[in-house]
Amino acid sequence: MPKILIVDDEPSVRRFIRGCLQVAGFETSEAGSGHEALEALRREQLHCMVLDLGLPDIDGLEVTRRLRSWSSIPIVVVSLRDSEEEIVEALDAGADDYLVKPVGVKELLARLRAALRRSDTPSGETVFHSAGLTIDLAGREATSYGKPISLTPTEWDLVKVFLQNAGRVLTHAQLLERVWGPQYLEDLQLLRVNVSNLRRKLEPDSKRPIHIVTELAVGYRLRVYDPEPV
Amino acid sequence: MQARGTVIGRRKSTWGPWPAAALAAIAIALAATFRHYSVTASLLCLLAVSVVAQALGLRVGLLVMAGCALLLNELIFPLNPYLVASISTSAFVLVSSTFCLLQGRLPAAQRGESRALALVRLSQQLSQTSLEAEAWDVLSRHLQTEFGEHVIVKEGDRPSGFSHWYRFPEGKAQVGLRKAPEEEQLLEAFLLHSLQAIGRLRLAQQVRQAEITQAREKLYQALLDSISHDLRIPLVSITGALSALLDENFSNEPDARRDLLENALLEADQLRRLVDNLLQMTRLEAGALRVAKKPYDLWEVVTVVLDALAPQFVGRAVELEIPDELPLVPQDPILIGQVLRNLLDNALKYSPAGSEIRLEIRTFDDRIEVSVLDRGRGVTAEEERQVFEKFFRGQEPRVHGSGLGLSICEGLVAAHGGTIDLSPRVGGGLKVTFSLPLQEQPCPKS
Repeated sequence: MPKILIVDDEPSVRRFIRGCLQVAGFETSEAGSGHEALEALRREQLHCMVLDLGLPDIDGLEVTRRLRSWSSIPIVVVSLRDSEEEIVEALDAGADDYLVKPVGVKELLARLRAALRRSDTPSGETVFHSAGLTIDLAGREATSYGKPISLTPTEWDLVKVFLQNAGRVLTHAQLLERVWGPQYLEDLQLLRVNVSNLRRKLEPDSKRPIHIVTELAVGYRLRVYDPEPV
Repeated sequence: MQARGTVIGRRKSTWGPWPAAALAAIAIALAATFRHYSVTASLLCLLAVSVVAQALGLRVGLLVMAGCALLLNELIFPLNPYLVASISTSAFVLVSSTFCLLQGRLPAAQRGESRALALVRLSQQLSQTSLEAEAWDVLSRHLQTEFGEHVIVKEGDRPSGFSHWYRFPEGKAQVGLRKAPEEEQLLEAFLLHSLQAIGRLRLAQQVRQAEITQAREKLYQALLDSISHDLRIPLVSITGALSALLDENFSNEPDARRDLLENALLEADQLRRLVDNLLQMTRLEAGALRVAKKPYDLWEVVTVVLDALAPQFVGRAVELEIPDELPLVPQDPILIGQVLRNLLDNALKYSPAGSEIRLEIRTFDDRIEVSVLDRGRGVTAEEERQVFEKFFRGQEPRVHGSGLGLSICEGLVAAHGGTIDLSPRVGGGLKVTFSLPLQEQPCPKS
């Protein structure tokens, strides 16, 4: 059973998260500060970390950077509202996803599971199923609610990045860098146009997307649904 | 402008009246001499001299005219030529002296006039100032113009060369005057005017301060009232529901439990929104709002907000009238999302179930306009401006909410360089429109 490290300086918040995770069958460990967290990560066998960005000693961003220098376990950062810049920084520094307090249990578990999935994705799986979408990366075929879709090479590149991070958020910068290259980091217009085109092809209603979802001021996320249509 | 005063007068003759006297004497002598030969010749001589004299700026012209008149008189009533000469000369000396006296007086009179004008100009400009610093600027400029290097405005050490010093009360500024008694009076008049103006401005400033303090106290009171009431109401349902859950009487009533819990969750969300609103309002008040603007597509903001509001909008639809393609608008999408959310929330709260709620977006050359329309009770003409005040709520029976929504919207939109206003609709209801500039605007200071 995966063991998850809960890092938050508020005991009540740790208690809540612990309760949710244990009911869902996870094992947990706790830390109340950045130093405690790093210590626990070195000492124990941990599979994932839920990290509060508002820690008293070293900030969550620093913890993320330090952990990433020797480990690639999934990290989900948690912060208060109105800190989108902080969140983007953490994601760009290597965190896998984020949550905003106050957080509901459904969302907490969904994001944790998506983050854990990254670390154990078998390499053979290349066909993605989610609600009415079927995307075969290797075969370069995609259908949306039964209709076959034809994608441009750039759109395939974009789809590939989304699939490799299915269920997890991707910042604007991450998408631009991975699809177009580091010199395009600021080109929001470019990203917007391509995401818009992709939505038009894949979504049942491109103006109310349910697959490629906007994370305001952060980036985009490809949602993962059970194969049954929503 | 000349540095030294504004006296513009005729060139003062440096020789006094003597050249004129000499010329007049010559003219009269000539006239007397040629009188025998030809009256016309005499007259012509006199006239010629008169014209030359006027051209030279000598005041003898008039005199020579007088000489002509006497000569004419003499022709008709002949007199002793020497008598004529002596009368002319006396007349000349008299008139010339008068002229010289007047001329001596004239610059002084002109100076007096120009000083009065300078004072009037100073007064006028002082009356238009609204800050003490401005009044000082005006005074300094006018001192420079009127007195040039004869006057200096300085704090601290007094440089030498200035004999009189004037100090302003409650300040460190000093005005120094070089030794020039005729300017002392004018300077004192200047300083007195300025002193009065500055006194007036200080008083106005005090009044403004008092008004600000009063407004702030009123706001604090409203804030306390809001916290006391609006924050505690949701807690009633939340605490109530949780305590009921712990009670064994409820353990076998899944429906009742579910009901309590759903209500508690809604109330908790309400509480969170209220706290966020208070926080946002405080930030706006303190000028501590951080606006992270990026070119963003409003469609994305609309979608996210509609999804977030979906639970509240159960049973009610929002009709969208938005072009398929929207230009990217420089904005902080989180903040604009809040504005949109507040407006839609208001529309929901203040209009009857089942009535229409619309969201329209229009693009113009320089801006984009977003409107939320409803068929609620609208606002009265009086309320149109009041609704933007903090903690304002309409006459309706008390609706959920802090009354901060529109006030916050105004602050957030203003931080983007945009505007917001509302108007009643034909057929009833309200239309609230906010606009965002399409070009990057410098963040306005609060």
